Amino acid sequence: MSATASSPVRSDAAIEVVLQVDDLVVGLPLGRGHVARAVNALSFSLGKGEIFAIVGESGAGKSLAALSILRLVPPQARLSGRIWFHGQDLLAISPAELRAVRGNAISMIYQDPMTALNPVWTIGEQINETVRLHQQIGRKAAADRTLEVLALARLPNPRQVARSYPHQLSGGMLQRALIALALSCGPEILIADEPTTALDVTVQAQILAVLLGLRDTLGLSIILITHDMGVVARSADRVLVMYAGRAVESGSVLDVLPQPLHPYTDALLRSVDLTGPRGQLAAIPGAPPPLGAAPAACAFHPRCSYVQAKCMQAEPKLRAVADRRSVRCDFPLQQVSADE
Amino acid sequence: MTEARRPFATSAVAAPLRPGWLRRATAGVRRQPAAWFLARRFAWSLVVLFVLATITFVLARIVPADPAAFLAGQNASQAAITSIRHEYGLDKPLDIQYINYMSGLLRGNLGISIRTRDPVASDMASYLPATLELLFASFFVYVTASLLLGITTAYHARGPFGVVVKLLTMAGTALPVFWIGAVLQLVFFYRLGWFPLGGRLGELATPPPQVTGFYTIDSILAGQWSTFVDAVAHLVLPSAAIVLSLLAVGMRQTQAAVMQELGRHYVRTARGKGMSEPRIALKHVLRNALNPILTVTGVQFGYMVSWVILVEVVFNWPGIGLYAYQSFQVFDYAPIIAVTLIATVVFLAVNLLTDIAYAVLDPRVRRG
Amino acid sequence: MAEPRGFLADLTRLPRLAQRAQARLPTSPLTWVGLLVLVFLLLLTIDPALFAIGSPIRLDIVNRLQPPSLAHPFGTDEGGRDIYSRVVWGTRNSLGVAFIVVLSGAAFGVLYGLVSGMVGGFVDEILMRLVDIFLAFPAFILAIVIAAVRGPGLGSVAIGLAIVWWPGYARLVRGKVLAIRNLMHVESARALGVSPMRLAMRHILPFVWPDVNVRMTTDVGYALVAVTALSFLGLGAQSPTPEWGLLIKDSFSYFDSAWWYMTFPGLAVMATTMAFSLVGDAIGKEPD
Repeated sequence: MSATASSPVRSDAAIEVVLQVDDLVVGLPLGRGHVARAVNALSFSLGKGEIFAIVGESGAGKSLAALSILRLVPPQARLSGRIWFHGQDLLAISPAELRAVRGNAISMIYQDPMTALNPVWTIGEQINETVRLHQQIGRKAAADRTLEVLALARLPNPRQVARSYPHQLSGGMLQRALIALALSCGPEILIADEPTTALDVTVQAQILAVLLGLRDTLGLSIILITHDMGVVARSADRVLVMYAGRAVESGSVLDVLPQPLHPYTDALLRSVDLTGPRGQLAAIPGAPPPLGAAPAACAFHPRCSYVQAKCMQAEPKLRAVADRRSVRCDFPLQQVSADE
Repeated sequence: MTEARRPFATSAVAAPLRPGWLRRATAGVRRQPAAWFLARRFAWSLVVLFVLATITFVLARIVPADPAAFLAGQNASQAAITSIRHEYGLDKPLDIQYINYMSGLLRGNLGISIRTRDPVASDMASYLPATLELLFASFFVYVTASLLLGITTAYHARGPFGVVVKLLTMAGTALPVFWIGAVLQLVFFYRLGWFPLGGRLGELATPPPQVTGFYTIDSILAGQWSTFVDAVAHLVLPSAAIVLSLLAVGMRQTQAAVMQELGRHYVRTARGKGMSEPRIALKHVLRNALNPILTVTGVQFGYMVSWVILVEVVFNWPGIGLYAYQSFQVFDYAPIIAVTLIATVVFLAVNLLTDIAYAVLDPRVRRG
Repeated sequence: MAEPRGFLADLTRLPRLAQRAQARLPTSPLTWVGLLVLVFLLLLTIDPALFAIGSPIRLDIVNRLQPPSLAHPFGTDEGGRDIYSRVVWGTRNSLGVAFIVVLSGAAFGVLYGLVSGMVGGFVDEILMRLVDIFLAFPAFILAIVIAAVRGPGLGSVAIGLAIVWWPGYARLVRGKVLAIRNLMHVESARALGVSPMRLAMRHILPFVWPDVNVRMTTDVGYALVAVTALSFLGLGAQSPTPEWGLLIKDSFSYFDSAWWYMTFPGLAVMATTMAFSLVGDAIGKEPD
């Protein structure tokens, strides 16, 4: 994928693109007129039935990028770029049109399931509300649909869950309830913003299994945000690695994970590998650059083990190196034939 | 005042309940946190009333130099004073007086009004509905206005609307309610003629057949629409005065509570579902914001009860406040003491209702 | 940490204090206005003669109910008395009494709360129950009763209001005392055998003081409104004593013909209360 936008819908031979993000920029004002680009000209496309992971450290901008699709970013954030969905630019449509898309054609689940639902209403009431918001169906039909999606999310006792309040359910069950909520109107795309981060490891696997199952049975396309390469390895088809608001590598998981091209991707993978039964996650030494610091250089160079002189002088461009694979590095770890 | 209450937080005193028989008797109730809490609050209210009755006893019998002269009024003759002394048993020892006084209260004996020569209790009964009607009307308008303005300013805090509302409500709180009332009369009666000067109904009108004592309700029940309109028109200015003087706090509290809720994640989820802002505000945010709002509202109602006497004087509203005022103007003090007791009862009742409202509104609290 | 003592040492602390004082100057123009009004009012309370132009009680029936003019900036009342002078001289009776109410209420309440919080245990529980009972009454009505029983007059008003005012401070202070009691340095000071009195003064009071300060400032405004209300009911100042609430009451008979009679005393109350609220809020927003 190149960094420049050409046509709204990219049609590849075998893959139908359902969402196309071009040059997405999320600006956060820092006071006194400075605006920092938390997401800096990000582009990617989502194929039908594909699980597309966006991975990076916290602060890399991945959550903001995900929230941008449905324009759920904080009010002070400034969005620019184009997000194509069914021929419409989601960043340009009116609020009323956007509301028709949210929860309907595109749904989202969030990082902390414990706070994502209204504590004074039952799960069932909140799902019902969504169903009746977008569809003209009666209460009985809505209630049936609620139970249906709760079962789809693999909740063992849908009726019981529907009658429960959020504080009565565990984190794992809540996240599944959120998934059910997201499914309630039969979306094409599900955006999952770090859905497993707040849960423990055993529950993580269950949630990922649910998501995979939904992709298989419903043909749902999923954008999965995570900081954990292990999650990427287990669930994703394609991956985009973000650092300091920029895409630094992307491609199919089967290509990128065994043979990463960008030193950062490599470091991320190592940090997962070293996790043993008693092992610690090996942290990558150093820290990402603070928001707003704009070096005219590769953003990763202070922490890069393979840094060279050129890295400190100019920011590398994103280069396509193979079919649907690209990297932003002047000295990628493998020399694959570059096509410019 | 801005903290949300944790209604069922038990204090240390609640832990081991002595004596044993009381503990066993209340075991069933104590297992239900909500019911037990309300039972405790009710018992507490009774204690408060008891203490207040004692205080009024002190004020009426011990503080004045000569209680009999005090009760007999300014211009009483010596003979009248002596007869009062005998009638009220003021020559008996204090402890006997106290017992008589308290038992009298329990029987509903609130003394005799020098001015009307009727038992205070029956006077109060006839004037109480007017005060209650005014209080409830004011309270209703106050709550609605606070919520609406609070929510709107939560969204537009910095804009001109928010600033203007803030200044106006601040001015309202800084002004005495009787002054506001007078200004309202000046503008809306003398200059514009839109609303009546005072009283509950027009000069020539007759009240509807008594069912509740509330002219608004009774006139609807009797189908007398013009009377209903008349009664409402007379309610407008007095309740407006009360509301204006209290609005600032209610509005500010709502605004703060709503702004806090707007930052919560479930609001983002609701937006992500495709809900519109007004719907989110009314359906989701308000329910959660009500807890701190309720707390303040209870306090505000206390002020309302206290100040209604001022409004009744300005608008010549025939309620217990005006009754008490007319009495102590002529040194007839039994009514004002009775009004204090009644006002406290009303205040305690409202606080109890507020606690019940907490339990209803927040399911987390219901389960304990 | 030993602090230098003595006069010279105090001198060396001055620049630091001055710097801190400057950092605490209000930034918002609104607060400045409030502060200026406050200073003006304080001066007025202490010495009304500074701003007076004549006698507040001199009758002049010929000139009764005159609209505002150069000679009478606020007009005259039904006795021909200059309303401006009555407002100016009334400051003492209205605002002055409000000060007394808040000062005495706060003094007693803070002491009560300190003792209750520091002693703790069963005594604390009892003392606070008493406070809760007091706070359960509609305060203003209780003040009416007290004033009525004592007999009308500003003294009764002051006493009545002070009695309903102190419980709020007791509860506030006791809460803060409990919060700080468990902090390390208080416990260690105790262990070192520091006397309770010293403990209170040097450790607890400074912690408690900011909140009390803010509350006292805003309370002056509300106490003022209460004082005027009691006078309005006839329980406070008696004619011809100038007092803002009494002025408003007297103005009622004439308010549709002599708008100035009612307006200026009302504005005086409003300006005063708002000034105190603004300054109180500003103090409250300061970081401690």
